Amino acid sequence: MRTAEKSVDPSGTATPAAIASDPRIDLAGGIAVIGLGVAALVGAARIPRTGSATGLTLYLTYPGALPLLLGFGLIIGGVVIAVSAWRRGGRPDKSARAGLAGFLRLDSVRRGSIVLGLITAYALILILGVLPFWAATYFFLGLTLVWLRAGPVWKVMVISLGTALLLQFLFGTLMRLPLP
Amino acid sequence: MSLSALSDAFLHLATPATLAYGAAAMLLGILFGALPGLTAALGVALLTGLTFSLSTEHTLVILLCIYVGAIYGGSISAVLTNIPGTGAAIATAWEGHALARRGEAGLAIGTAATASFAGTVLGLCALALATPVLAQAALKIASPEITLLSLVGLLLVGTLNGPGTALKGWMAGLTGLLISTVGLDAISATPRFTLGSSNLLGGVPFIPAMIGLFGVAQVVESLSQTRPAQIHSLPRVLPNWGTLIKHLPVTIKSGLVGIGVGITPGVGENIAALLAYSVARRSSKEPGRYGHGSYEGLIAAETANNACVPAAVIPLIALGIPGSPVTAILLGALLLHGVQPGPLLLVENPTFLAEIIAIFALAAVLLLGLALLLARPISLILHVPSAILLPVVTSVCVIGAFSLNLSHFDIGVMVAFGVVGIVMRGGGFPTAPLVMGLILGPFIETNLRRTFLLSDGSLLPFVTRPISLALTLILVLLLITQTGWWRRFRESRRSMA
Repeated sequence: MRTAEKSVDPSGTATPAAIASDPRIDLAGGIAVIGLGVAALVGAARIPRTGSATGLTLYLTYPGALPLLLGFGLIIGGVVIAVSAWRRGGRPDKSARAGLAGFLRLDSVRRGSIVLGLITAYALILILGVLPFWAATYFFLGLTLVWLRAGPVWKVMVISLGTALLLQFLFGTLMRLPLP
Repeated sequence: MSLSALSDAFLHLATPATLAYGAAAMLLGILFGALPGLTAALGVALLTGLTFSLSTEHTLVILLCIYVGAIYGGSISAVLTNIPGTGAAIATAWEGHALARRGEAGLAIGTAATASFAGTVLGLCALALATPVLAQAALKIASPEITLLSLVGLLLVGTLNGPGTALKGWMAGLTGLLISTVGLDAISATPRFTLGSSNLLGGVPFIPAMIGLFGVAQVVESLSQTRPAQIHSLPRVLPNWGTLIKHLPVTIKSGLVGIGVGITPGVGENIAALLAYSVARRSSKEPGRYGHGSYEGLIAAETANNACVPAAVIPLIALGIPGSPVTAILLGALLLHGVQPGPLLLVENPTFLAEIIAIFALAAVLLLGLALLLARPISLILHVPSAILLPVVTSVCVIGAFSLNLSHFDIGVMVAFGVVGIVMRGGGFPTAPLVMGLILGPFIETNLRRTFLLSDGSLLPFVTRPISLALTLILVLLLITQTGWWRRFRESRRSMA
């Protein structure tokens, strides 16, 4: 049987590999699935019940029929995942909070969060049209490579600028693809 | 399919532009496969966006060559670094890296390339023989059977891709189905879950979502780890013909396993390779060599994963149901180009199958040639630090997501699905069933509602028609075999034995 303790390494910190099998993570996952199911039910209930059918046939053929069925399926599945996790020791307690704090302090989680933040910022700059593609790409690559310590700063800046211009030329000029 | 159609298809492909596209795509596919973090699914999704302006034929050449190349390419990093470039190369790493440690990296990669070629050819034969038969049979099935077959595929991919528990895989599949309902309803044009955004009226854009799920999520995951890999040097790459002839029976057997897995809706190359490896090990005269550098095990895994590729296209063409998660993306690409796979495809477009066979034959030849000739230069890419390569890949992902609809909204969708992918991976939910659900959703919904409309809301069509009944029983069995009750029953039977 998997236990909450097994998801913690000798230093007392949760390891990323163990997180996926941690019953506390499963409990959170189960609750999230239930939430998604409830949202599907609420959304399905708001869809107008059109058509000439009546009774049960109406509920099985109206545009919200599939979301309705999926909502029930997700709630049932989510409950099974959550209950199973609870039985395996996934109760939220003090050690769970400590485990979560340890997880958030993991180097891999910190690195992943910053990379995701950089990608989101890059996407936002392109969506809002603040900078042209090559410039946004240059800043994104430059910042990311410097932060990941991919090499000396001057080298990283040269690589970033070269790559940004190469992508602009390859896709924008050579392949004639409109760039964001 | 006539021989003249096949020869026409081959002649049609023999143009400098097509061959150049094929060779470039094969090279790119091998690179994608070789680089841990970049997968066949990402390659196909990315190139679907980038090749939208090309003709359907050129797009298919590019996508199928990428697919075949990436499944082989995984073996390069598996052998040289013990990190499988794709999930389909896990068993290859077990044997191939042991061979590299013995100083036989070149032979291992040469053998993997030849086995991949053999697998692709075997899968291609199955594609030519089985597709017309299956498509003919599929003309006799109706909405209830199509709904059930799609659901069986969805449950299978959830069961086989779920790490430890199938339930999480199924929930991922249902989530994919739910996301597919966003937008205007196909029957009554009623808007659903659009949150008032006109961008969502056409549904969630599939390709940006795939690029996010497979690209952004993988980039973030790979860059969050600092795992330096020890890379073995690669001498001359050549297969040992004696070894290949000695293992011809296991090549054919593994090819058949790969074909069987490929035809099964939703399963895919990862399972094909592991299953063939396990079958070969059980029937081997030298099982003790497995895990210590067995050419037999390497050939079994590499033949099966590549045989699975053309085989996974069989249900896609004949039934409109993808045989693997990558073919689910391929289905999306075909729909974008106005090709509707399914039983009627071969009736409306009789030369389509011949074209696909010719493309796979071209891919097989390109694979063997490029894999043997360029394995050494390709392996050099493994020396480029992922901290440099993966941010560049992110920029290419942005171009791929944007270029399809020229929509900035699609870049947002890509990032949002990247976050979904990261959260799902973190919680142990597989992403492949979500992809299947997303692509099969409209198909399942239309057929399900049509069944209910025609039967006045009755469930009887699912159990009164022979094929429907068989599929319903498979569906119920799939559900039962994952219950705690079934596991306890099997354990008690085992302890009694």
